Amino acid sequence: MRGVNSAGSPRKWVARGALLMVVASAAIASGGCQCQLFPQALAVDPALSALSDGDLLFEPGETVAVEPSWVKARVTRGGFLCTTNLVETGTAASLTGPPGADYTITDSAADYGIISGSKSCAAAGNCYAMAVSAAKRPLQHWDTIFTETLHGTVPRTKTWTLHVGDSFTDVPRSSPFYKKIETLLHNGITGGCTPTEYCPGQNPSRGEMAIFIARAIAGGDANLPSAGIVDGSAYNCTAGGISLFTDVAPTDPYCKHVHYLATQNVMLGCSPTSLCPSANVDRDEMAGFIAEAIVRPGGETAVPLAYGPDPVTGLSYSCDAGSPDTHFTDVSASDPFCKDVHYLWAKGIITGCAGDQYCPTVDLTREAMSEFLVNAFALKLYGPGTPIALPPPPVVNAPFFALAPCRVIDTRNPDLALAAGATRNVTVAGQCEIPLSAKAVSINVTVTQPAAAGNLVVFPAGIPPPATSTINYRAGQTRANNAIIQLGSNGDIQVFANQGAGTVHFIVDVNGYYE
Amino acid sequence: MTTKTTLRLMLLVGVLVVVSTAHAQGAGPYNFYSVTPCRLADTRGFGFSGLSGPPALSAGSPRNFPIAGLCGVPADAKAAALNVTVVSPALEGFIKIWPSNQSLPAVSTINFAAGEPAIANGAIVPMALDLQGNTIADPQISVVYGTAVPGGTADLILDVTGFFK
Repeated sequence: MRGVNSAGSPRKWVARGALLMVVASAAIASGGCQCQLFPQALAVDPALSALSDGDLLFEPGETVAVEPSWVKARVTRGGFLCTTNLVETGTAASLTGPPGADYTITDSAADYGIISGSKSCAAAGNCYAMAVSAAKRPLQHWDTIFTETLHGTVPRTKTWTLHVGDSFTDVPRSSPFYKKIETLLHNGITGGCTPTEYCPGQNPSRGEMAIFIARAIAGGDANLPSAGIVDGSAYNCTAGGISLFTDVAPTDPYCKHVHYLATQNVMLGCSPTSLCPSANVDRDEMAGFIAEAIVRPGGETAVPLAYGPDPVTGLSYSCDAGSPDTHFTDVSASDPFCKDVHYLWAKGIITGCAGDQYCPTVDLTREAMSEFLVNAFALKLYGPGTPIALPPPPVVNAPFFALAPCRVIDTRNPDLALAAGATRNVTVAGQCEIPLSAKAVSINVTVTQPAAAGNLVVFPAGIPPPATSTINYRAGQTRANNAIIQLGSNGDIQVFANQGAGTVHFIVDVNGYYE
Repeated sequence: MTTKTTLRLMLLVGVLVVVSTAHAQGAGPYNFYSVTPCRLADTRGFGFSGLSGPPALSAGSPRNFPIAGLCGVPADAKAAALNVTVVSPALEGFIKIWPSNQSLPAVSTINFAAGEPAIANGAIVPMALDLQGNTIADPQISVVYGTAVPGGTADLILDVTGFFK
């Protein structure tokens, strides 16, 4: 369904009430125009073959299977359900990457058959195949892209990114941490220790760990503010600024990271006012950092003393000394990090160092760190949502289409408040009858329950937060403003909480789009 | 494009259409063009100076701000999608915004209480057009801080997310 052209020419437009009646009768004559497809996942090199090692990574010299999955549009906020089964085939084209390598699509056709829910081309038995080779690796972080075009009930085009493995000479494909270390590189958490090496056995310092964890939480270094407020005290990590840690200078490379973590109640300090930036991190301490990062901004007290069964893993624990139930034999209920270690274990983030041991007092290595970070923050190597999004091209000459006002997101339900300094990605296209081809949206943004004064910056996905604001507020205030915001390449906007501390809830309602 | 000597555009908040002919006619239709969200003016300073910078608005004294040629808004833009933020107004009041070649309108864009730390409203603000409907050279928008009693200042921030032409 489309909206009303602003110039007044009649478009196919149905009031929401009428639309729901049609759905209720299950006679969706024009169901196809309501249904949309979204990229869901991307599997690469899933199986051993004569031309590849089947290690789920695209590596130089291999010809690998490339298997996208798509999911049919689900229920929109208005209650509309896409009941039409979609019939799709796909074409891959334009595999490209940095110069100095050969990029080849050896099978450019895929078949999805009938898509009634989510589906991979592998389920229909016909996917793409691609190869990459180079005499010399062109870049340490080597990404390639290709364009997939779906032909069928709902046409769709998507640019997929394919990371190329073998990034580090000292992390062989046989390393149990190989894929996780490649994922850290791909997500911009850390590069190597040299242009060709990762130094997997080195011990990261507390300063380095602050950088890695902050990047993982914020979705990249560019999203981290260089100034803010921790517990009412202002910090400014620029030359001549203010550090709240006695052993961290405002110009230290980890200054903004450790302060940002403090705003999230992720406390990396070795005392309330010092970081001990050059000290190593032992495995107990790492569990504490990561557990606080997961429950942020609740802080250490928000990590449960007893928990379970976890809805996904089914695991339970109790670090209550009165009724202990612990998994790791070397982390007893009396260990001050017992609940942190076991919370990560119950969440499926860590498995320990060997058997049922955790090795809590051993210094963490860079390779072991990859398991904590990749699993805790669900970092992905392939598929939609990879953080390396490209800025969307400018919207040009787009007419306005009006919509019945419709709610895209309300962070109160489900309860996912935005933390101070954090950015939330909100997919707008595909919701509220906004087509995937929409280029910008006319929205009303409401803030409520802000813990502190601040402003929200609403901006297209794919760029860092601009130096503008969309709505300003005082602590505790509920307030709304309207805005016209360009959409990112995946039909998404981002909301950045430029706020000193605590959290804020927001609501985005849409009343029209530009296409 | 239709030309009418009494043509008026309208602000997003507060509607004004005054025509002498049989039915209302706005300028257009125009389409949307995005820019990367960008700050056009900040009377507090923060890197802005001259026409786009300090001092703060003085109540009752209109002031012009350039738009075209800044932040990717071209000279032939017909209207801009702005976010208008008022910071620390001394007195309760309102802000009016209008094309610089027209007279003070009856409508306001944002209203606020004294001492409000910061309050914003989105607005689609028309550019100054000539009688043929073309954007005039160096189009600016006029802004005035209105108060019930004389005196007071207020800081103003203008952000842009796109334009229409």
